[in-house]
Amino acid sequence: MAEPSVVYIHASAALGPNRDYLPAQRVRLSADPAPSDLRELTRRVLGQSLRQASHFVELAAIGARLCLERAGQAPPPATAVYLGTGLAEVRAGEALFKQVLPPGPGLASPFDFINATNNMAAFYVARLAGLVSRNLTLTLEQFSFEAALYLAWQDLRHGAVPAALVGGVDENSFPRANHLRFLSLRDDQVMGEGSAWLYLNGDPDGAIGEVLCVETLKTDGLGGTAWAQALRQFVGAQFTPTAPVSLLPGYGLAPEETEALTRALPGVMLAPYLDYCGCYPTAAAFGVAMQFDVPPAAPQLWLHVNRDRRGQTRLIGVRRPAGC
Amino acid sequence: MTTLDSTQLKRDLKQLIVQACNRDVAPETIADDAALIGSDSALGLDSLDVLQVNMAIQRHYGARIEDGKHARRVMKTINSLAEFIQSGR
Amino acid sequence: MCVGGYGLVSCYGTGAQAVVEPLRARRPGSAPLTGLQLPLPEALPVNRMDPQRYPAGMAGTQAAMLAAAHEALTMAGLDRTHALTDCALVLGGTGSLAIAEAEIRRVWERTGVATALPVTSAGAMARQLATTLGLDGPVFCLATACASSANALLVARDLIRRGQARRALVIGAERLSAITLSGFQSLLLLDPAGCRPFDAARRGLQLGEGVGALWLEPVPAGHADSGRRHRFHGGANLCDTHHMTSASPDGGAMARVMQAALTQAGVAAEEIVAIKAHGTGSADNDLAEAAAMKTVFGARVPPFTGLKRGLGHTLAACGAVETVAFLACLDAGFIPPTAGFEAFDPALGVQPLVPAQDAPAGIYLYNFFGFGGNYGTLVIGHG
Repeated sequence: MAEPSVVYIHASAALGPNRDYLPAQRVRLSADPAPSDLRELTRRVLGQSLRQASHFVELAAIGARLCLERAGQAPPPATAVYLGTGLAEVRAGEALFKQVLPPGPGLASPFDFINATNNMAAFYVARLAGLVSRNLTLTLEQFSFEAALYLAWQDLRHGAVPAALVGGVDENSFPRANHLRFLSLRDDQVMGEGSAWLYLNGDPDGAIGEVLCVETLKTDGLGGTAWAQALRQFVGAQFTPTAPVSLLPGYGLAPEETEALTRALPGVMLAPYLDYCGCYPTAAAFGVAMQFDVPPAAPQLWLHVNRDRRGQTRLIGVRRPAGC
Repeated sequence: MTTLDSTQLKRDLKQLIVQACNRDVAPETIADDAALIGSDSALGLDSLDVLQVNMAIQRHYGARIEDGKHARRVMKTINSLAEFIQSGR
Repeated sequence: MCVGGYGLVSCYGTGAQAVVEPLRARRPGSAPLTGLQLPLPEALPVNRMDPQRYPAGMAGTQAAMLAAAHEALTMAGLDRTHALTDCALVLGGTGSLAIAEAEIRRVWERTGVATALPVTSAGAMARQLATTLGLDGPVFCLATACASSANALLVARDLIRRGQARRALVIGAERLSAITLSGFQSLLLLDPAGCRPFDAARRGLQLGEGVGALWLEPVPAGHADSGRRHRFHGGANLCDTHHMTSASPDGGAMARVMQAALTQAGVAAEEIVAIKAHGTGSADNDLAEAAAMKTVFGARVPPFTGLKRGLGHTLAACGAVETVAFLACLDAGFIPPTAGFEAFDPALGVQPLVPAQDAPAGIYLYNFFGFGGNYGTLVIGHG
């Protein structure tokens, strides 16, 4: 096995629920974003329309293309694609239910059926970029992006792939009451959607950041303070921060958990991002990616922390080192 | 079916195809005898579009084709598609 | 790395052993579809699990996953008292699992039956299963169409090799649903006569459901192969970007994944004893796969077999279901023949294995090709 090596971030893109993909376009959401039509943006960004594709596929394809464009170099064809999605196709799936189950006519739309194939978005991403290598779609509830990033990070560290395009993509659906069948949200949480991507490889030249860790912490059953202490211990053992540390709280964290964590990690700055993308299973990708699509600034370290209803914690550590 | 019915049917079919396949084309610009399938045809439909149209005509007209090659023959032009539906098969 | 145990729930019953004699005799495990009001061909053959033991819905699916898992663990010499700490669970399963579940839920809601069924996903089912079995290592769920379970095996193997898990249980699971049936019908991909792999008259797929389980572990030190040990040499996954649902017609991408798998495994093409083909029975897929085998093996294509007339196309599960069925036949001493094949197709230029043939020790290739151009090939030894 090759000696595990450093994994560098070369580009990122975060497409949000209001067709926003530049820092200046991002607005804080005060309510559920309206359904967004991506056909025009698809034409503009991809230079073609994806006539047979769904909203979910468009979402994935636009985000991935933006990320690769920013990498400034064509990715090698052996670049692997890792797409994490918690819900995959929601809208086409809903359409199929109406078409097929009584009182529907029983006829599935071929377009909807094909788009509802979970890996179709990753297929389009690969096809549009000419990537003929490893292509994995992973789903693991609200840790779906973490699962995708973990595999990409490990494959790169072990030299199994030369470069990786890693995304977290989920779409919303309407009305809210129906969408909540798929996703439990508190009344104060808006239902977002997004497509956020990182382009990674092992080359330090031109890198804008590094992936430090993607960890699973068995914190089942731990209450707020004990949980925060467990994370503090882990972070203390794992990092000797040489740069300011920011905390990106995932949507599974209860407000009191976020508070306990900011108390437990001295000097940590809170960097909430869900106001910009809303809540969806792979929002973590948005939170991480949006840190790297701004002009280079001072060195910084970000910890994305998320927890699910089973009590498990997942942590992503990324940083912008000096000179990046 | 009278000629008038046939004209209306063809108009409906153009609308149906454009809609089913998300084509950015004004339905009335499609000639009755223009090729529909293939990259150099008027509509540029591919094999997946043929299936999508097949589902739509089954839903609207109850006409069912269960073979891909047959479907491509039937959907060669608006004329051939209208003929197929009018023949009630 | 080796397959230390395997388990199966298929149309032939519970247990991997249940497939051996029917597959040897080329007996289709299908029955005509009933109970669904859909515009489908009459008496469409499908392969279902025992509806009494594994009823449609989450409880039945979990029961099947547990049955296959326990069989695999038992074969590996692990009874229910063994701690499975730092062992991974990797599921090959897609949204179709959740769809099958949701169909039931919605029917119940419409009929006014109170339901407390949680909305689920394949990812949630993977995590639930890991908890139930006490596998407390990493959990992943691969949703890559018909290559899902093959990719799950590749990911599990990486987890062990990289020291991230001691052992791994790989499960592939698929349930039939009205939406899946209707979807394939809309694509005109169902053969009313059942799957006829590589046959001149083939017309399409025969859908099935099933659950397969494989226990992966490092080859035990000093372990003399017991005949139950199958060395997992390696494999590859890649994307054919030709089209959403159809393969590069010349089989180029399929040939590349087979070649990549051989290279990754460090095995020469000449060493391959036989191939478990994907063999969906669709006109295009079998044509491309035949071309790919000729590209990789030249004039000496090894014996190859399609299992989908017997087991049905179990979609996301087929990487586990067919691998287990094939291994069970090898362990019974034969390479399974191809049910559903009758007539040579000159357009393919090759024909699958009929009848059964003795299974020599050696290295075998397993192909799995899915929608979205997702291809996985595995290289697994026998004896």
